[in-house]
Order: sequence, then C-alpha cells, then structure tokens
Amino acid sequence: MLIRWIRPIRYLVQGIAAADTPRQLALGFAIGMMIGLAPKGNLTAVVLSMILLGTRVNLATGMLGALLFSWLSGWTDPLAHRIGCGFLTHETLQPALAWFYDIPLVPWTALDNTVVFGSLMLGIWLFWPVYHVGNLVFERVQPLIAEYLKRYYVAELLDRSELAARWRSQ
Amino acid sequence: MIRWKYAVPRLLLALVVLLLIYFGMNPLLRWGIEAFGEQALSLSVDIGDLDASLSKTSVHINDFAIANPKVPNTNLVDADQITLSLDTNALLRRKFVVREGHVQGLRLRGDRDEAAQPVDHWQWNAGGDRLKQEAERWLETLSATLGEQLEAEIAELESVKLAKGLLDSWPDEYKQLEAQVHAVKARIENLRTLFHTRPDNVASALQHYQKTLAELEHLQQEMGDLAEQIDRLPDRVESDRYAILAATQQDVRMLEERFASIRIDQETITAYFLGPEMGRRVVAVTEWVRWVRAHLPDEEPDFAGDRLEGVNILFAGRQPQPDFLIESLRLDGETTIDGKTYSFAAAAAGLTNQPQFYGRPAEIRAQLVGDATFEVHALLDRTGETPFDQIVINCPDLALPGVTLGRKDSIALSIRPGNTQLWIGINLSGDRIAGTMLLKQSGVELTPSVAERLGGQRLADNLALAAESLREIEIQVDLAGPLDHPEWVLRSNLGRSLSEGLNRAATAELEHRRNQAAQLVQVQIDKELNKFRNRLATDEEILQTRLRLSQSEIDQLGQLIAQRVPSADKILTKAIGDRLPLRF
Repeated sequence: MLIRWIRPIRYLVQGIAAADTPRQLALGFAIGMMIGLAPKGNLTAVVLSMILLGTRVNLATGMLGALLFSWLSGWTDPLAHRIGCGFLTHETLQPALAWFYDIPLVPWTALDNTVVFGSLMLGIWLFWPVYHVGNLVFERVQPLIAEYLKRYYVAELLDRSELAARWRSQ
Repeated sequence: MIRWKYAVPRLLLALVVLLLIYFGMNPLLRWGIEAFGEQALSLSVDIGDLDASLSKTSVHINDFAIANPKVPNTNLVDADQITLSLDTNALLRRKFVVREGHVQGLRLRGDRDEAAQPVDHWQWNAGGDRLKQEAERWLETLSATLGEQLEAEIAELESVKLAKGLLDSWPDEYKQLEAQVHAVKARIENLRTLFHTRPDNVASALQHYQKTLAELEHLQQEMGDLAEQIDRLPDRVESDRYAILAATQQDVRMLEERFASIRIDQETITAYFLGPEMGRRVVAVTEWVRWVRAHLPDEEPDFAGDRLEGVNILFAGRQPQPDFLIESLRLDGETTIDGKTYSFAAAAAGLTNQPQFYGRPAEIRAQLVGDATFEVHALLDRTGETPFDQIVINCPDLALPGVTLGRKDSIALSIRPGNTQLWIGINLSGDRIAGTMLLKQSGVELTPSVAERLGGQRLADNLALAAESLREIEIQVDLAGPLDHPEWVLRSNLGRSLSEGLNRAATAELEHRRNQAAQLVQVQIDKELNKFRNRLATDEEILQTRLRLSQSEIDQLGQLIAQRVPSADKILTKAIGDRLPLRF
C-alpha cells in the first residue's frame, strides 16, 4: 500500500531532479493536460494515454497534468462543447466527418461528441503554449529543486522508504 | 539501432495492458452488465460466469439471475445459459447488435402469484359492486315477495277495509234506528195516555183534542220517514258495494304493478354470477400488464456524471442506429403459473434501448406448454411519441376446474366445465388500456341451486330448465380506460339465459301469487259483504216488525180518536163555528 503512494512521488522527484530534461517534463505535462481535459471512457482518452506511456516523456509530470486538468475540466467543458459543436456541425466538413466516422473503431473515439471533440481541439490548441511555458518553468525550477533535494537527502529518503516498504510487503 | 533501454519497458507495459484487457475483460464486462442492469431495471442482477470472446465477438453467460425485489431469496428471472453473438462490424462502430441470441433454462418465478393478488380493488368499486348489489336487491325483493304472508297484506287493502267498515259501522246505525223505533213507541204510549185523559171543560177538551190530533199527525209522519229509512237500507248496501268494487280494482292493479316490476336484466345476473370470478382474472391480467409496462424501459437510462455530457452529432447522410440491439433472441425454459409448471419457448426480435432509431417495434412470440398451451404474441412499439403495446394471448385448451358461481346461501350455479378456450387481446397506448378477454367453455353442465327462502327447489328446477340447453358459455370482458383504473364491461350468454330463466320462473311464481292475491281480495270482500247483508237483513226485519207493531198501535189509536171526534165536532161547532176544520 505504501509503495503505491511513494513511487509516483519518487518518480516526480527524480524526474524533476535530474533524470529527464525540462523538455521531457514539459511534454509530459502537456500530454497529461490533453488527457485531463478529454472525457474518459473512449478510445481518444486511451490513445492519449498510450501516447503518454509510449513516448519518452516524463510520466510523473504527465500524471500531474492529467490530474490538474481533470479537475479544471468542469469549467472548460462548456467551452469545449461550443468548440465541438461549431466544428462538428460545420456543413462543409460533414462529408469528411461522416466518412471518417464510418471507419471501423473510430466511433469508439467518441469524436462525434461535442465535448470530446471540443476537448481534443482545446487540448491541441493549448498544447504548444502549455509545453512552452512548462519548458521555461522546468528549465528554471529543475536545478533549484535538484540542489534542494541533494542538500536535504529527500530523494535518498524516498528511495529508502520505498525499499523499506517493499521489504515489509514481502 | 533499437534503444532497448527505452523500448523494453514500453513493450512490457504494452504487454501488461494487453494481458489486463485479456484477463480483465470478462470481470469488467460482468461488472458492467450487472451495474447497467441494476441501474436500468432497479433490480439486483447477478452473473455466475461470463466468457467474452473478442475473436468471435460473442458473449457466453452462465447462471444469470435477476432477484425478485418483493420476495426475498427468490429470483424474478434466472437462466442457465445465455449466448449472444455480436455483430463484429457494428461492434467496431460502437454498436452492440446481437445477431443471434439464445437463452436456455429460463425460469420465471413468483411473478404469476404476485399478479394473481390485486394491489387494490378498483374494479369492485368501479362497476362490479353496483351490479352485484343490484342482483342482491333483486333476490331480496323476490325473496320478500315470494315469502311474505299475502293474507296479512290483503287484510290491509283499501277495498277490504271498506267492506269491513260497513259491518263495523252498522251496529251504531242500527242502534240509532232502534232508538228511533223505541222513541216512536214511547210517544204512542204517551198519546194513548193523553187520549184517555178526560178534559175538565169544553175549552180544555178542545185544546186536548187539538194536541192529541197534532201529535198523532206528527207520529204518523215520523213513522213514514222511519219506514222509508229502513226500506232504503238495501239500496245503501248496493252503493257501498260499488265503492268497494272500485277500491278492489285499484288494489289488484297495485298488486299487479308491484309484481310486474320485479325483473332482472342479463347484465345484472352476469355480474352476479361471473363478476367475482372474472374480476379476479381481469385483475390478474391488468396487474400483469402493469408489471410488464413498469419494467419496460421507456427511455435510455440517464448515466450523467458530474461532467457535461455533450451532444452526439449525427453527421449528414447518416441514419441513426441504436447503441444496443438484439435482432434475434431465442429463449427456452420453464415457469410456474398458478402452481403449475409450464415449459416455454420464445423468440424475440428488435429489442433495443433506442427504438426510435431502430424504427420498428420489438416483437415477442412465446409458447407455453403444460397442462394447457398458451400462445403469446406481443408487439412493443416505442418508435413514436406515445408508447404503444399490443399483447395477444391465446389458450385453446385451458383446463379449468369446476366452479360454483354466486352464493350458496342465495342462488348458486355449479359449472362442470368441458373444453375451455381463453383469448386475450390488449392494446396499450400511453397510459390507456383497451382490450378484450374472451372465455369460451363448451360441453359445460350447469346445476343451479336456490336457497329455500328464495323459492327452493321449485325455482331451481325452473332455472335448470332455462340452463338445460346451455352447453356453451361465452364470456367477454371489455377493458378500457386508464391503466391504473380501467373500466370493464362483462357480457355473457350465461347471464342472458339465466336472466331469462330467472325472470320466467319469477314471473310464473309471481303470476301465481298475483292471482292468489286477487282471489283472496275478492273472497275477503265477499265474505265481509255477505256477513253485512245477513246482519242487515235480520236487523231490518226486527226494525220493520217493531215498526209495524207501532203502526198498528197508531192505527188503533187513530180509529179511537175518530170515533170520539164527531161528538167533539158538535161541541166545537157550537162553541166556535167552522174555524177549526178537522180531517182524518
């Protein structure tokens, strides 16, 4: 039980401290943002999650982004609905969308839903700004955090805690 | 060059995900079905074992059960095996279309017993009670009419009272007449005494004779009046007799009207005999229909969470398709109806959660085989704004036990049934029901019994005669109105035949009683009149004899006075001349 709580914190701390670059941290956070904004229970969310898992980005910042924007999605959903509605009901796009949606497995993406599609669009639109801002922030924050952790042996403490928890569970 | 340090963890992760899907799909799907079923039906859904195959796109379920919420520890529906073959193409497009399904070992428990017990008693308040009460009133009236003592009632009739009044009032009248005769006699004695009294002188003699003659004249006049009065007595009896006859005719008419008003119609007698029995069946059917309607999902359950759901856009040129559809489903199993086990086989088509997209009604055909055979055909149409259901049930060989209709302490009818056919056709449009239930029994034997106070064996025999030719009973119940409180009308040839028989028997009985009553009235009146005539004749004779005696005394007195009057005439002629003419 304890391992489950300690490990993500350790990853986050390790990731921020030195293991990944600020670019990877920012990319993870941006993809997590897209996952957080999108409604779950469809193939879109699954694909985004697989992208997060399958690329060389930081998982911890990705999970942090997903959690943060899932919480924020309650406020962004109306906007996503309006974006999705405007896009999906656009007359010129209808044939293309109909063709696309007729492809097997595509309906599982739920991209015919205004909130799902709007969230995806919003996520894509916010991807670059979030990544850019995240990169700048992590470039500045990462050395400071690494120095702090080294000074107070926090990372070592987390490593030992996880090791102790693992022994206890065995 | 492959960077193994990067690739291996990712590949392992992907493998774990695939393994999770492979091993976790069945529990996940099982949990999903149970959760969906419980949310949609508000009933506890249990699945023993579930095996889903992605390659074959099929689902195999063992030990499926829906708990009965009303009776603990029993299932409403349970099945041994359910096999569903899904349409792969539709599944890839996020549509669950069951091409072919097969439910084996399906059992329905307890639902029939619950349906047989009415939740409320709306039908007795709606119309059954009224007709039942009418029949009860008819029987009570008939009972009272047939059982009452006519003699006592006839004694109170106006005509009989008049006849009796004649005799009752006669003694007083007779006493008056007798007193008058006695008075006349006394006055004759007084006149005789007066006549024999000698006057003192001529003047007083004159006055004396004048007084005597005046009294004599007055007496003669009263005697004549009295004789006339006595002579008129028979005429008065005759006029009273006419009044009595008029009253008699009115009384007889009143009796006839009262007897004639005692009739019963076929609707009342049908309700009396068949109301309770058919009422129970109507309640059972209606409860069952209500149960079915209550458990049919009217619309897609709302699973909205905290987040905005959004709108699913239907792109131009595309037809909406239901998310869940069972194109064909075969079911077989067994169920219990009224404690008897029936095996059944059913086929359903077009079952969907979005019928408005499917555009066709769901259709269910079922056949139950046991002591009897039931064929059920149901069309459940949710394609329009108003839900419409049509249910037809046909049972060509229903085995019904012998039954006693009516009440044994009043009028009852024992039926030994032959072959019975039951047909039920019900249309449900929104919350309104309209339908017909037909019950046809052939080769029946009817044995009526009537309580002694209502006519006993004689009336029962009449009824048996009326029902003798009735070997086929047809009962029709028409239902209409709101599903919660429908009105129902009961028709039957049983009611028609029995009402005819009852009315015929009652009419014959009442005719007999009516004639008896009229005869009794006449006899009573004749008896009273004869008594009066006899009494009158005797009394008249007495009075006339006495009157005749008095008359002869007056005559004698008159002659005596006449003998003495000439000398007196002379005296008076001398004294007063011709101023006092005397005539006898």
